[in-house]
Amino acid sequence: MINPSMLSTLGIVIFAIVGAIALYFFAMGAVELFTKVTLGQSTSRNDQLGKRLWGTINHAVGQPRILRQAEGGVMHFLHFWGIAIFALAIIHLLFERLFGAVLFRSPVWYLIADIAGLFALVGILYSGFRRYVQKVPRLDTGGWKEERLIVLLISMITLMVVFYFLSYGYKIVATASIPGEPERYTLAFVSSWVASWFAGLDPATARFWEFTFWWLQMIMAFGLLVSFRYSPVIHPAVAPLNIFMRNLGPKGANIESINFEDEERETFGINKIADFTWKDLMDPYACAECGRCQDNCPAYLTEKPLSPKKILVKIKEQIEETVAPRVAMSTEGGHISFGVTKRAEASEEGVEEEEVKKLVGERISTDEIWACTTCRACQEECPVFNEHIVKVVGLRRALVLDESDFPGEAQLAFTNMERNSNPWGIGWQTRGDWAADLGVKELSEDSNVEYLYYVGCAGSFDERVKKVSASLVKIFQAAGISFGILGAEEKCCGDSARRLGNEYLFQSLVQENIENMQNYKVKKIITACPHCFNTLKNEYPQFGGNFEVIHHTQLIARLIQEGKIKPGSGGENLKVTYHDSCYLGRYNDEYAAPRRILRAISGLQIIEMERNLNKGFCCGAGGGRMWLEEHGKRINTARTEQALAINPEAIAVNCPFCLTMFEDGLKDKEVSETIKTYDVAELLARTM
Amino acid sequence: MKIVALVKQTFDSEAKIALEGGKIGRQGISLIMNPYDEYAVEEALKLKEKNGGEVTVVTVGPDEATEAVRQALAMGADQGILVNPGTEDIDESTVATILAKAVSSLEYDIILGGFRAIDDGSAQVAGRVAEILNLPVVNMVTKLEADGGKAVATADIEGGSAVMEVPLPAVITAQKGLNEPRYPSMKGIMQAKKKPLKKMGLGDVSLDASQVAAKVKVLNYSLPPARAAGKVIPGEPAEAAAALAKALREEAKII
Ligand code: SF4
Ligand code: SF4
Repeated sequence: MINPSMLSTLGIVIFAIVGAIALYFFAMGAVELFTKVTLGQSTSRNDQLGKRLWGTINHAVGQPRILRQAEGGVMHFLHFWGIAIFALAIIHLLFERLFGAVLFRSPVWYLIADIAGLFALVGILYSGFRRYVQKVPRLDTGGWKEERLIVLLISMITLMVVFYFLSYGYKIVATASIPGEPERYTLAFVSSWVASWFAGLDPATARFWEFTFWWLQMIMAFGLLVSFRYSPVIHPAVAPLNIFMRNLGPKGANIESINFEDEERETFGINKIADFTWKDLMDPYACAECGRCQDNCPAYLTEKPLSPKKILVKIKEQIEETVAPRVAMSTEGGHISFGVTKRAEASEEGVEEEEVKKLVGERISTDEIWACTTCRACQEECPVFNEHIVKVVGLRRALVLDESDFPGEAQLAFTNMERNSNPWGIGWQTRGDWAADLGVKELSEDSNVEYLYYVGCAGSFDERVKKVSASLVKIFQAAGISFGILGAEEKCCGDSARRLGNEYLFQSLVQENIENMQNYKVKKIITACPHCFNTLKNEYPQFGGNFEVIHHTQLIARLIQEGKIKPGSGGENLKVTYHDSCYLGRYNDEYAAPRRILRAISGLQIIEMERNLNKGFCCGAGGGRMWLEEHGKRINTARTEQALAINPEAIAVNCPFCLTMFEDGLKDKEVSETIKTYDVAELLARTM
Repeated sequence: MKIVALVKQTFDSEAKIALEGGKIGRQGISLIMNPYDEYAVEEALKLKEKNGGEVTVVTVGPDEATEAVRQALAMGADQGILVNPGTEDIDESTVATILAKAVSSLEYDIILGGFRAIDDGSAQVAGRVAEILNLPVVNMVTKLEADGGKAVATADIEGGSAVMEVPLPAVITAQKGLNEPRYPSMKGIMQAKKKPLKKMGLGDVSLDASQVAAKVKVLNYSLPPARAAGKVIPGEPAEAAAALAKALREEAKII
């Protein structure tokens, strides 16, 4: 017997045609997306396939990053899983319609399908609620023009599920008297409930409505496939790919180096869309515009013009407006005409369209580009592993290396680093003077030591930070560590130069440092600054400098554990809050060592700020911002206020920049007399 | 517009000066383009951007001074000339004579230079060049407009400023405040490697050693005395102030 749930031959033909059209649009959308993304430069993301796959599954199934935000997380979890399983239910029914085959008869399957549908419905409606009723700030709900496609999408998904349930409700009524059928639906509580509305309807009428609503549901499903080509919201399709292609390298080594030997090369920064890597161009399509990045961005939260989310949105706009290969319909003088949108920026002749905004300076303003502290809060939070910082650095490279158009303070810092190998511009010969009376060896006198103590610019030249250097020397000497410094031969590590976009200066500093270190056969390096630490550890290998690098807090924590240092008492009870620096914390996942040191000092009571660990809030000095003017509300003031909110008596840091920023912030708040900032090492040294 | 910029390579302002055998040691010193000359180069480039033309940078110094010329080329100058006098025994008249000779073989509408160099600070060279070439000179300029046949320059004078007009060609010397020198772009740095940079000796500018012999001889260099450590005077404000006044009168002998 032919299954009465099957389509007629005509139905199948119509279905095939409509389906083919939908698939055509979907395929075209995919081709267009592929074309857009592959305008970018090459970058390799196909190593470690197992790890990539596993991460994708982990982040798609468990969604740990999304669930960090309770409400939005639940919303996403519901409709993600709802729609995923619901799609299977649609396909399941399709087999019945096309081939008369019922794949699963178990009532449990229909229960699962119903639950999935319900999840999808609740999730998608909740997402609409969050967007249009609650107006959750990080979502930045726009006006009708921006929102209409999203409204359409939400409506289509909602209707698809509603039609599905209506169709199933009628189906249950229509098949009530067919032996074996009702048993399938005993657990399908939603569909059965819907069926109860139509109980008693004659089977033929019920069949009619069952099919009608099924067609409507399929039209919605096909509509969603078609929308893939036109909607800006293709996040669901691209996100898993993006997670798969995420950057698996060390977090501190994401910035790619430039080969300056290449004589052919004319530009060095990201001046136009085609200068990005293809992964950079894929990111904005994976972006759900959820705003989690922006919600954690210190620049955004202090009302700077930068939002990491908007950087991606603007890159997408630039792609769509300048290079999108798409056939579009327009009306000219009352006539409808078709034309291909201009591919100005990427066109082979390289024609610059006049009406097209310049990427750097117009689409994305220079103020946005300079506001970033490269703190990595955005990337740590982004559920689809978007990479904002390399984009910002690339745009800065355009301003510095290609256009030579950047803040005067940056120029001063560059010139100082060029001439005196430190951003302050203090005479380089005096770099080792801080250690003059401390009995510290210079490698030029004796290079037969276990560790090079790479002091860094702040530790060598800043009056306040020199005291931290002296504390470290005291600790190392007490522990009997064999170490030496480079003295006047040490150069700036280059962290600020690189992040300010001056890759050329960065590489020249790196080369000199590596040469010196290799000359003295340096194997192990201690750094007192997380910026030096990250750069030496993660970036120097790009240039052949392979050293074992350790941050002072890591070494000290180990020395305490090994019993080589005996912390004394911190004296009277001191309430200390510890501030995680971005480059030790988020970039290098070291949250524990500094806290272990603090806990080892008796008398210290450690209290935590609300934003801590990988959600720690930047002090404002990273990414070379240390050397730039900050306008409006200052990031360090904001961070200081966060610290003051929990009433500490002292603030402990692991970074010279954080130290300076907190001291300034405390002065701003006029509490610098009562609340002091210390490096973790200082708190230890004073007990010894 | 044909523009000439005169530059000098000097010690970095943060360089640690030490005497070696009675002379200033050059060991381990970072060398830079004299900052006042940087203003001159920047102004030359601005004039070129506005009026079109060509910028030639001229320096007198040892071969290592090519670095300073390269920097000017990277900033955007079109060609460079370095004349190596072949001796370290030179004074302002030596340098001015060589520069004037080198410049006289060029076409020029305006000659720019720093008003002084930060090393010897004598502020003579550009003026001497003007004298030799018989050109008008405006010193310590903080604002410049030049086109057609004349230049209008705002110059620092004691206690104020003066706006002056001179016919071109003329020599203009740059004072701080004239502009913000640009930082060379990568493209500039790359191109600078390919721009013409002529290295010459005295013979190439038809001079011989006797014509440029230094007229001033340095007898002796000495370093300023090391700064004594500061002194904190403790005590109640009134007592401390009295002690301070006493110290200023009796120890420092300045009141
Ligand atoms: S970049 Fe990531 S965190 Fe930011 S809005 Fe897009 S998806 Fe959300
Ligand atoms: S790195 Fe930090 S400052 Fe820069 S965009 Fe991301 S969150 Fe904002």
